[in-house]
Amino acid sequence: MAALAIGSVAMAIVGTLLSNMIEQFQTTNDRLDAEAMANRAQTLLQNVFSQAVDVQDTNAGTIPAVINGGAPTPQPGQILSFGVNDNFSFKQISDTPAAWTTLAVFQREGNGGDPGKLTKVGVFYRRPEATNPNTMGMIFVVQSNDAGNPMTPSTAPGLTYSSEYIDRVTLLEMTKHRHPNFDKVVSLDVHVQVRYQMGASVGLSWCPEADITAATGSCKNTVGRKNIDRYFTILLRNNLVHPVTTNMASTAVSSEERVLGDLYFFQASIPPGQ
Amino acid sequence: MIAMVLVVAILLLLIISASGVYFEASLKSYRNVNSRLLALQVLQDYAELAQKAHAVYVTYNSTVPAPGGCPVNYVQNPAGLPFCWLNQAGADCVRIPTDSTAANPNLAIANVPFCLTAPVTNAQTIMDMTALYIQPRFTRWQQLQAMGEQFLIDSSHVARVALHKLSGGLDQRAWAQLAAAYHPTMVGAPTNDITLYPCNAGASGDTYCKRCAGAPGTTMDCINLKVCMLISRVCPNPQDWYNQRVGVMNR
Repeated sequence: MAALAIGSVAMAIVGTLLSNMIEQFQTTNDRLDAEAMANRAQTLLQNVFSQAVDVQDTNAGTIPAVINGGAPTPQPGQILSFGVNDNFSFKQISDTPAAWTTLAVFQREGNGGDPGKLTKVGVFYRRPEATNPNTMGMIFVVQSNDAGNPMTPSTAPGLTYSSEYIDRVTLLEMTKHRHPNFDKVVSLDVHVQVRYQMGASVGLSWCPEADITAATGSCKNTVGRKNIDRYFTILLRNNLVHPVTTNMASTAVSSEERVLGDLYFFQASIPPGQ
Repeated sequence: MIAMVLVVAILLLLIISASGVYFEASLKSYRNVNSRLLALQVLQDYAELAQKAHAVYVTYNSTVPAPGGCPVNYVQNPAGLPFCWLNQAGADCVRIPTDSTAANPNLAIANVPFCLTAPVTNAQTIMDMTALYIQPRFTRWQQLQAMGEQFLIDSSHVARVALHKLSGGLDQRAWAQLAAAYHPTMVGAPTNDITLYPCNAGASGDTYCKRCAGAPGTTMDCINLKVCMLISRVCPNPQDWYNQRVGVMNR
């Protein structure tokens, strides 16, 4: 009888420990997924934006459709910004009334060979929902030369889960830096916040912290969560500052100028799986 | 009672074993990201060195009478291409800052030098262009490893309690996307899209599509840079290298 009692107590202790272990592991598992996604956000955005070949700084708060069509006359790409501060900021759901936002559309160098080849890029943000806290914030990156389908959230070719995307995003900020003399973007500061959930028994929430604090819609502060913030700067090294037909501001020299002067970067070749 | 203890012990051993696989995969992912970002930074820094090497050649050869080749203390490399590199040991190095904090003493040395392989004449032809090798000249390659291992240490307190995902492996969706984010196109003849935008295959003044080969003055002078980022410092297969082709536009 005594052995049975001791055994029962031991099993209860072991069971409790295992339960706690499982919960901790699930938290860590989710954190590792979030870390991987944060890393991916940096490498993916760095990869596409650093190869952009012609992005102007001016933006009126939306990405005009003319960029989407483009042909036959090339149109400069644009990166979304609000107001006069050259930045896009999503800190709470009301910052973007529409569920989908086009963050950028531009042409990028997309060939490691000779000659180069341009590829159209569309970057889209699908924000979390106040009415459905289970909706993740997601950044989609579409790369396609399908001229028949403009780069809009509803028509961009391949804008599905089969395209490249970053999920778990609860906050996103982008700040452009303009060339001092020309209407071109030189670099882009990015702040991405991704979230992981803690514990096994709690629910999920992907609402921005500001909405959780304000209890917007169904964004209640009832779940365990932690956020990972990733800050990085992308140099638009391939961006055309001025074409060959325009003189430099300080000289009479007629030459093409890019962000790193006379350097042009073809698409880097990365080892498979890296 | 003994059987019960044995069962629990075996279960815990299985968990620990499986979690080791899982965290090893996570560490690999972290290393890959580090390698990629560092490699691209190294290649970009070397592109700027190539820009200077090209400027030296152009300046030297624009004097009258044109002397040809490179000035004293410079070496033309690859042969026949307009790039003059400093011919001094350790001259063509770039330094890459890595994370360094008091909490991470393994990262006390905050810079990692990458140098052109000595002697500077070490070159190899790939495709139709000539490449310069860049290799890390490390005394402490462990610094990079430490960055990943620190991540592992941070997570290890729960490694022993893992039960979920007994099969191990990182988020396969993320893995697949990491692989798909890049599109190596260094094999075969690249195509030029002339229907969407005015890519005229290297016509003088062509703003949008660039071409390397061709008559001087109408196209760019290009060079291929490649860097090996494997921890072994050896890249036995062509696909192990990070390749970056850069062009210096003629002015």
